[in-house]
Amino acid sequence: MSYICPVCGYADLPYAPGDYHICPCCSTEFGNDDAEFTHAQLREMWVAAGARWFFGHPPAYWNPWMQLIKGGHQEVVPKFVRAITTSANYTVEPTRLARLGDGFLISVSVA
Amino acid sequence: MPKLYIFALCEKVIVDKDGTASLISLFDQISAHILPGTKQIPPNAVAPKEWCAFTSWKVEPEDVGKEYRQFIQLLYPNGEQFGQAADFSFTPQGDKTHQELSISGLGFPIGQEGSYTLKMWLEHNGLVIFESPPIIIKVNYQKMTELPPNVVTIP
Repeated sequence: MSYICPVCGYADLPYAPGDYHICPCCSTEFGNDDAEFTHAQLREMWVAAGARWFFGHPPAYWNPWMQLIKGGHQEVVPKFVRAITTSANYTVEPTRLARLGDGFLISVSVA
Repeated sequence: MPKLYIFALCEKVIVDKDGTASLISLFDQISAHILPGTKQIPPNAVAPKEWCAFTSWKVEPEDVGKEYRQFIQLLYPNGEQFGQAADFSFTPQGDKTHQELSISGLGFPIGQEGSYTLKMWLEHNGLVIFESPPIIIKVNYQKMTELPPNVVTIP
């Protein structure tokens, strides 16, 4: 069974966050660190320090920002961009009607 | 073997109560409007941008009851992989002619400017039986002091 770190959102804690267990991701020692600071404060401190993996090697393809977003902590993810816009590199011509054969009327879009 | 009917990248997939899917805002370009004063985007930067990869497979009678695994993988412009490849298993049922899968992403990597590659392939019994032409998504940085109209700022 895995547990989620309430500070950094790491979802593979082998122990429940308590009893002085330490999160290998954000290094929070539960029962000690979170007795002094709230989880939100500890999260902000971890992010401010660069959101680096604490113990050993991180899991393959680990990304701290995705972990925080998945954990519902999107608000602490650094905003490197002011906005994101998407677009498509193709155009759809205005729909026109075409008559085919025996009265079949279809609309045609050209992409 | 299921035949690929649709493989598309969009902002959202809406599935109505009857199970019919609608794709909202197909895209293949992302513009990241850089905050003034930002000198460099960290290589692991992620924008909290939701996206969906939608696939629809046309299944044949001989596919019914067999288990297939579809994989989705997103690569940075330099070829590095972003996140784990997502894999989903499905077993076509006899009463359906199509099998549809919608894979959602909560954030999109923006740590590199350039062309990202969304790969998709199908496996059966551990063997790749089909690989789709990839979707290429171009990410470009735009340094702006003011937002263009109709742009929603990330809260």
